[in-house]
Amino acid sequence: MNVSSSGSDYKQLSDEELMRRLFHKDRHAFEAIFDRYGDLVYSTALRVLRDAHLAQDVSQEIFVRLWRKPEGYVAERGRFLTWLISVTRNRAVDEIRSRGRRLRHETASPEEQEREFPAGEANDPALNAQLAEQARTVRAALTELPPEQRQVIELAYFGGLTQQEISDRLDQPLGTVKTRIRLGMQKLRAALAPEMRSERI
Amino acid sequence: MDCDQVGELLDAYALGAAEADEAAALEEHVADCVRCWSSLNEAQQAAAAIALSTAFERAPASLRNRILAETERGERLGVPGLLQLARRLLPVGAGVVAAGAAASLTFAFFLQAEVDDLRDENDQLGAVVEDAGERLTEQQQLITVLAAPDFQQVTLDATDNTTSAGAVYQWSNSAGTGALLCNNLPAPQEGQEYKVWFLTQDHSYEAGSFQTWDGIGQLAMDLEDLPELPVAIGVSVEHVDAQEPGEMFLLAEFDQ
Repeated sequence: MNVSSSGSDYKQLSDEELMRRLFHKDRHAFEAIFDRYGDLVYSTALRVLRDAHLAQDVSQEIFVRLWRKPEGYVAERGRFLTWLISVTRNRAVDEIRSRGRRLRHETASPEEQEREFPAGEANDPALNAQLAEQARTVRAALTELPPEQRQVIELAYFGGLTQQEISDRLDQPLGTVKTRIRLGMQKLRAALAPEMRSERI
Repeated sequence: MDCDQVGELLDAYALGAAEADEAAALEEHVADCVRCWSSLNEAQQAAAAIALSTAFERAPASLRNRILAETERGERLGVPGLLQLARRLLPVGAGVVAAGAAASLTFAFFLQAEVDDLRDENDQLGAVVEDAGERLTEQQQLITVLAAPDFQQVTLDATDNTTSAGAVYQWSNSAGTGALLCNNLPAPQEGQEYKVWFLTQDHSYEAGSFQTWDGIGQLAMDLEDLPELPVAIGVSVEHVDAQEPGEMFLLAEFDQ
C-alpha cells in the first residue's frame, strides 16, 4: 500500500504509539494505521460478507469511527490489532444479520475454499512482512486441526453463527458442536501460544 | 455463572458463537473475576488471529481516498463546533421534549453567534455560514413547534433492529410546521442522502432531505402543502435524484 503520505517515521512507530497520536488528531498517524491495516480490515470484512462493496463500506465505517472516536480502543484491555480485527469481524457479522443473509460456507467449492483459506506458503502481496509471517503461522495452526473442528470454528468466526445455529446447519448435536469448538480452540491457542506471548499475534 | 462454566464457554464467546443470554452471564462474571478476564483475553486474542488465515486482498485505492475525504470533511465543516454543539444541546431521543424548548432557544442563540462570527471571516467560510444559517432557520421552526399549544410528537424507530439510530418528529397543526431530529445515523454513501417521506395509504410525499454530521440530522418541514393526512412518517436513504421512496430506515405511524 501507499505509505508515502504517512512519512517513513510513522512507519516505524508501534500501534500503541500511533493510537496515542491519533488521540491528538494526528492525521499522519491515522494514515499510517490505515496503510498498515487497511488491507487486513478489508480482507476480513470481505471474507465475512463476500461482497466487495459491502466490505468497503464496513471498512470505511471502521476507520472513520476510529478517527472520530479513538477512545473506543482501550490499551489496557488488549492489543490494538486484536481489537481492530474483532471490531471489523463483529461489524461485518452485524451487517450480515441485518440483511438476513446467510453464508455458503458448507457449499463452497474446493476452488473457493482454497481461495479463502490458502495454503501455508501462499504469497500475500497485500500484507507487510510481519503480518504475512503471522498469517503463515495461523494458517499452519488451523491446517493442523481436524477438519470438523476447523469447520465449526470458521462457521462461528466468519459465518457469524452461534453454536445452536451451527448445530442446526450441520445437523449435529449441540454438545458435539460445543466440544469441537472447545477442542479446536484449545489446540489453536496452544499452537499460537509462543506468538501470543511474544505479542506478535 | 461460575469460573468452570465460564471456562466451558470462553472459546465460543470469543468466536462470537455464544447465545445472547450465555454471553450476558459470562460478561457479568468476567467483570469481577481477574482470572477469567485473563483467560478471556487470551481466547479473544486467538480468535482474532483466525482472521489472519483468510486470503488477503488489497483494499481498493478508492477506499483510502474515501476514508481520508470523509474524515477531512468533518473537520472542514467545523466539527466539533457547530454540530457537536448541536449534539450537546439537542440530545435527540425520549428526553428531547423536556429540554427541547430551552435547548432550542440556547441553540439558536449560539447558532446566531456562530453565523455572525463566521460572516466576519473570509470567503472560504461562506458555505459554512450558509449551512449554519439554514440550521438557524430550522431551529426557529422547531421553537415554533415546541411553543405551539397543540404540539405533538412521535418517535421513529429503526426498521433494522441492529442499529441504534432513532428520531423524534415534532409538529404543530396550528403552526403548520414540523421538525424531525435524528441521531446515530450512519453517513450515507456518496451521491445519497436521507429523505423524509409522509406516507398515506396510497401515496408517499417527499417532505425534504438532509445530510448527516457526525450522526446528527434534522429537517424542518412546512405542513401547509400536504395534500392529505399522512398515516406514517418515514426516513429512507436514497440517491439524491430519487423521486420515490425505497425501504424505510426509520418509521413511525401516527395515531389516527
